[in-house]
Amino acid sequence: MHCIMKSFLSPITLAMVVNFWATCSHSFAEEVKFNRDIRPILSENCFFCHGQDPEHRGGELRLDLREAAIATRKDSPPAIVPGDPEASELIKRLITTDPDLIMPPADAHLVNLKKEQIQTLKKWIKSGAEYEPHWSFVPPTKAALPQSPATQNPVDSFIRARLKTEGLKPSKQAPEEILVRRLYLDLTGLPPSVEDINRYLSDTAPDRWGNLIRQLMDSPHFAERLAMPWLDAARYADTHGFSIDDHRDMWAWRDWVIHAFQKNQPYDQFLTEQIAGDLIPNATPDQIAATGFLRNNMSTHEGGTIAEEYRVNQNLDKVDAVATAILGLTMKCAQCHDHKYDPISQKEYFSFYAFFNASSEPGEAATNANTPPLMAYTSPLANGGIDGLKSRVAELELFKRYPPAHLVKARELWEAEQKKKATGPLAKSLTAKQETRSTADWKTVNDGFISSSSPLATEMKIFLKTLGVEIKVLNRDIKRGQTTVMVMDHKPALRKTHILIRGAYDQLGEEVSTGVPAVLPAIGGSESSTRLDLARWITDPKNPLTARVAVNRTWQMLFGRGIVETAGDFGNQGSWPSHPELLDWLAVDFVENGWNIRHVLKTILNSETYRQSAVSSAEHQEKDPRNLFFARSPRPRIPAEIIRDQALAHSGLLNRAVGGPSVHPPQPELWSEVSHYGYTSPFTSQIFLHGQEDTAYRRSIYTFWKRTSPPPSMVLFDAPSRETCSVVRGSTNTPLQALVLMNEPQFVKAGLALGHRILHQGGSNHSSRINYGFRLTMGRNPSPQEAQILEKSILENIHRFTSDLRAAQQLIQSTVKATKQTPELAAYAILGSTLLNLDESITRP
Amino acid sequence: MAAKSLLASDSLASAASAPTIGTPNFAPKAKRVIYLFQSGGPSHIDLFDHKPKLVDQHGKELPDSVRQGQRLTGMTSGQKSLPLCKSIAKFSQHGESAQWISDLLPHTSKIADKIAVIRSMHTEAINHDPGITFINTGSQFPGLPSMGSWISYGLGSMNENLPSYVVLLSQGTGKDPGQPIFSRLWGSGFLPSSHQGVQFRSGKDPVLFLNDPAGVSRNDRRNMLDDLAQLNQIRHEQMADPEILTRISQYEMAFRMQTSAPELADLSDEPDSIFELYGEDARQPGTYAYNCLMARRMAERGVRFTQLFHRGWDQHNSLKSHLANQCSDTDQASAALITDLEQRGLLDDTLVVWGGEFGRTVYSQGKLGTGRDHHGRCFSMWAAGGGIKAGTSYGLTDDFSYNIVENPVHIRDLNATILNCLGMDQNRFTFSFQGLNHKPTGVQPANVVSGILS
Repeated sequence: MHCIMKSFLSPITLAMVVNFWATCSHSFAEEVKFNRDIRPILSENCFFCHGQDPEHRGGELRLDLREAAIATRKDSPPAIVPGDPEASELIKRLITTDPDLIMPPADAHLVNLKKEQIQTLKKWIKSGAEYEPHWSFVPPTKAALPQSPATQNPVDSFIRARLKTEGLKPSKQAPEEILVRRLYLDLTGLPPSVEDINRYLSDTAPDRWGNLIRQLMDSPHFAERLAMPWLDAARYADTHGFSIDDHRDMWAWRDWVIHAFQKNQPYDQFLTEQIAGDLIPNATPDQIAATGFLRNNMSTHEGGTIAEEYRVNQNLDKVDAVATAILGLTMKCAQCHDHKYDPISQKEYFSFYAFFNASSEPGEAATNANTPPLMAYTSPLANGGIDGLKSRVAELELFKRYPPAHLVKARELWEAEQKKKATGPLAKSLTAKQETRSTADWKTVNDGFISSSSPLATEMKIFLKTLGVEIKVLNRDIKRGQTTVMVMDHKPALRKTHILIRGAYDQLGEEVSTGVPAVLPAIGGSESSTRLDLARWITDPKNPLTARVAVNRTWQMLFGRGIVETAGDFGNQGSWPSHPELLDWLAVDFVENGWNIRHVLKTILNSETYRQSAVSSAEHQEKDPRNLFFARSPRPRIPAEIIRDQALAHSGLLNRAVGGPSVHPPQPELWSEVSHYGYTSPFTSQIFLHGQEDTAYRRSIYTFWKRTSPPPSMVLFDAPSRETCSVVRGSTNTPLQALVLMNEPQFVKAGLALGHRILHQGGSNHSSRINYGFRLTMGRNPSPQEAQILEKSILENIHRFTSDLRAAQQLIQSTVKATKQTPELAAYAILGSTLLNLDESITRP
Repeated sequence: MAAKSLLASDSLASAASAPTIGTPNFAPKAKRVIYLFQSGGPSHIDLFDHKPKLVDQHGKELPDSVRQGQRLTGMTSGQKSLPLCKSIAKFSQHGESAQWISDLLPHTSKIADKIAVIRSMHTEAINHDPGITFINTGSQFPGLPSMGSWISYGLGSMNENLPSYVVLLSQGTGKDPGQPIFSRLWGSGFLPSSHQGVQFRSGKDPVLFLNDPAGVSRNDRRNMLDDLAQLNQIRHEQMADPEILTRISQYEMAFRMQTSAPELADLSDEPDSIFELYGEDARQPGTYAYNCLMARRMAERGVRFTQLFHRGWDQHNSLKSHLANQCSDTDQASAALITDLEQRGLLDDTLVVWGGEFGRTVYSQGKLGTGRDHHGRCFSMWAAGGGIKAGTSYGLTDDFSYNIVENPVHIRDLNATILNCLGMDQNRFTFSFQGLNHKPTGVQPANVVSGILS
C-alpha cells in the first residue's frame, strides 16, 4: 500500500486505503479495545443518527450509551445483545442485503462497513460489548514504563515497546553534526553556524548535549520559536480581518507571548493570564495585556454591519480558539445543535460561550485603530517598541520623496516643465537636486504636483493622503510613549446569555449561566462562575484535556505530527493516539513538574528516539511509510517562517532584534489589488509600503500580517491565514514554492550574500569553499560526489559569466565596473541559491 | 460515501504534492469552470429581473406586506422612507428564448439563447464580507475552502505547466475602489494549500516570483535545476524518502511554468478579430476584458477553474452612471467569451457562471433613484456551457423583485449545481476536518437545480 496519493484513484479505492489504515495500525491478535477499535467505527458510521443529538435520531436508538444500545425498545429487538453478535440487530443490519434495512442507509452517503470492521464489532459484542468512556475525557495516569533494558528515558521505553510489537527496530543515532542542526532548528528556528557545530564536536563535557539544550533554551530565539505555533493557534494578526481589513495594534501582545516563553512562565499561568488576566486580583498590566489572546478574533466595520451579529460572531470565535487550542475540542459543532459526535449539548456550548459574553467589546470595530476595551501598554521587549514605531514613520516619510515608480516618473515630467516656468517658492524648491532637497522643499514640490494637470496628480494626492493617515496613527502612540492592546473586561450586568437557536444571533432561546460540559470535571467558583474560574478549571490538574493537548503540540512541533494527529480534536472523531500511554505519561509528568514546558522538551530531546537518524529504508517504507511508530526520525518540511529565517541567517543578512512593532519586508504590492485603497478618506494597511534595509531582514515572526492578503512567501509554504484558530499546518510540496526559493527577491539576495560569504570565508580554493558552504547550510560535509557536482557547476559558471560580464554584474546586483572577481562572485551566487533550494536545506535534518 | 482519502484529513497533508481524490462520481458535462464573479452585488432590477409594474409604483413606499419584517443593513435601516424605484434601464426580450434583459447589457442580450438566467437566487447574507465569503466558500465565516480549491482538490489538474485554479482580478470603473475582496475567497481552507487559487497578475510576472533574477538566463536556470535534481537524487538514495522525488518533479513543473505562464499571457498571437470581439480593452492588461480573454486561453491550456473577480458593483449611490460604467466594462467581454468558447468548440465542456454575492433593493437608498442597498432575498445570475440548458429563464420573483415566488435557488444550490456539471455529487464529496466530514456546500442540505441543466 503506497502512502503517496496518486491522482485519479477512484474514491472507492481511497476508502479502502483508509480502512486499511484504520485496521492495520494495531495488530489483530490483540483483544478488542472499545476506545481504539470500536468507538471510531460507531462514531464515523452511526453516531450522526444514533448519537446524542436528538434532532436527527433514527428509530429512537442511541448507540453512544451502552444501556440504550442493549435495551429492548418498543417493537424492536435490542441493537446489541452482549455475548451474542448473531442475535444483535446492529450486526444484522450491517450485513443484510435488503437495501431498505442496510446500515448505514444509502442517503447517509457513507460506505458500507468492511468485513474486518464487522468482524471487530462481532468480537467486541461476543466479549460482552463493554463500553469505555472516551479516552481523552478520563484523566491521564502514568503507566508503568514498559520494560526496555537499554533505556531509562520514558519516551524511548514507550516508543520501543511499540516498535517491538510492530516488528520494527529503532534506527541508529544520527551523526552529531546533523543532531546539532536539528536541535538548533527545532529549538530556535535558526541554524547553527559552522563554528557552533565545530564547538559542539570538540566539546568534551560528558553532558554536552544537555548543555547545548540549556544554552539554546536561554536564547531569546527559543522563545520566538515557541511563540510561532502559538500565534497560529491564537490567530494573531496585525489587521482586523473582515472587509476593509485595516490595521490593529496587537504586536505588544505578541511580545508578551515571546516574553512569557523567555522567562519560562509555567503553562498554567500562561493560560490563566491569557484567559482571565484582567480578573486576577491586583492584576498587573502584563496580566491584563495577556487577555489580548481573546481579542485576536477578526472584527469589522463594514458599512451596514449589524453590530450584534458580529458581537456574537466574535464570541463564537473566542469559544472556538479556547476549545481548539487549549482543550482540543470541536465545540463549534455544538453551536447550532447538540454535538453529533461528542458529549457536548448546545446548552453546554452556550454556557461555555457565556464566559466570554460579559465583555463590553462592541460588534463594530474601530477604524484604523484598536477597538475598546483597550489598554495603554508598554511591550516587555524591544525597549517598549516605540523606537520601532519611529523608524516606521521614517520609512513612510521616505515614500513622500520616492513614491511608486510611475508616480516618480509623472512627477519628474511635471518638474521638468515647471523648472522652465515656475516662480516663487516652487521655483526655489525645484532648484535643489532631488537628493539634497529638504522636507519643506519636497512638500512644496508635492503640493505643486498634486494640484497640477498631470493625469497622475489625483493618484499622487491619494497616495500622500494615505501616507498621512498611516503616519498620524503611528504618531499617536509615539506621542503617548506607549502602544495599546485590546483586552478583556468583565461587565456581567451588560446582558444575559441565551442559547441561540440554530446559532442565529437574533434567535434567543433559553437563558443560560456560565458552565462547562458535564462530561468534564465540575467547575469551581460561586454560582455564576467567571472567566477566572474557567481559567482555573482549565488549568486544574484534574482537567483531562489541557496537559494532553499541550504536550501533544510540543511533540508535534518537534516531530511534525502529534501523537494525536488531530491536534485540535481530541474528541470521538479525532484520531486515536499513536502512543496513548506515552502521551499520558508526558502529560502527567508535565503537570507534576509545574507545567514546565522546558521540562517536557528536555524529556523528549534527551531521548534516543529524538536523536535517531532520519534515514529510511525499504522496510520502513513498506511497514510504516508514514512513520507512525518512529523507527526513524521524521523528515517534515521546515515551517514557512524558519525557511526564510534560515536563509537570512546562512547569508548573514538576518537582523536578530527581538520584539517590537511588526515590520514590512519587501513583497509584491498585492494589497491594493484587493483592498479599499484609493478611497477618499483613507484606511490604514490598504497599500503595501515596504520597509528599509534595517527592518527588511527581521525574523518572519515580526512580518506584518494582513489577513486578507497575508505574506505570499509564508502562505505558499502552508502558513494559515490567521483568520481563525489553527493548530495543524499542512506540508505541501509545490512548484510555487520552488519559485519562491529561486526567485523571490529576498531569497535571491540571500543566495547572493551566501555566495559572497562562502567565497570570502570558505578558504582559498573551490573545494574548501564548497565544504564550508555545504557545512554551513546542511550541517554536514558534502560527499565527494556532491562536492564534484557543485565544483563542476562553479567552474562552468565562472566560464559562462566571464564571457558575459553584463549578466554577471546583473546577477550580483552591482553597479560598479566589473573586475576579475565578478564572474567568480556570480558563480558563487548561483551556488548560494542552489544550496538554499536543496530539499535537504528546507527539511528537518 | 465519505470520500475520505489518505490525505483527506487535517493531519495528513504531509505526503505528496497536490493530493486529489481523483475521478468524478459520475459522467461530467463540463471539465472546467470559468467563474465571472461580479463583486459588490449587481443590481438585478436594472439588469435581468424585468418588473414593468414598478413603473406605476415608482416613488411609493415599499409595502410592509412585501418587506415582511426583512432585516435591512445598517445603511438603510435608519432611513425614514423606503421609496420604490423602477429600473433605471429599459428591458426587452431577446432571441428565440425571449429572455428579458436590460438595455444596459446589449452584448449579453445577443447571447440570450446561449445562457440560462436564474432570477431566483437568494442568500441570507446582507453585507459584502459575509456575502462574498458565503457564496465562494459555503459559509459566512472564514476558514473554509473556496469552491475552486474544492474542485482542484476533487478533480485534480488537467495540465502539467499551469496551476489548476487561477484567479484574475480587475477593478471596475463604476465604483472605484470597489468593496475589498480577500484571498480567503480563493483560499484552500483546511484543504492542502496546493489547491489555493493562484492569483495571476497583469504584466510580465503573471505568477508571483516567476521571473528569474536579472543575469540568470534560461540556460543558467536549466543547469541549476539539473544540479538540484542530481543532488536531490543522491539525497533520495541516502534517505529513501519519496517526498524528495516529489520535490524534484515540482521544480521541473516550476521550470515549465516559467515558460508556459508568460506564453499564456502573451497575446501577440491573437488576431485583431479577437480584440474586435472582446473589445479594445482586452489589449490592456488588468482589465476585465483582458481577463476574459485570458480565461479563454486558460481553458485552452487545461486550467480547471478560472475565476475572475471584477469589483465595483456596489451602487449605493450614483446608480445611473456607475452601473452603466460597470456594464460597459464587462458586457461585451462576457458575451465575447461565450461566443469565443463556442467557436472553438470549448463551450460544450466549459461551464461559465456570471454573478455576484447578492442583488440590490427595489427601494432607493437616499433620494429616489440615486442608489440601491444590498438585497439577498432575490437576485439574478446566469450560467452557460457544459451541462447548462441554453436559453432558459429560471425562477420567478414578485412584482417588486423583492421575494421569490417560484423555484428559489439558494447559493448552496448553485454550488451543488456547479459540482453536478463537473460530475461531482456534493453529498459524496467530503473532507474530514475537526471532527466533521465537510462538504463544499456546507452543512445545510443543497439541491441541484435540474431546471437549468441540459
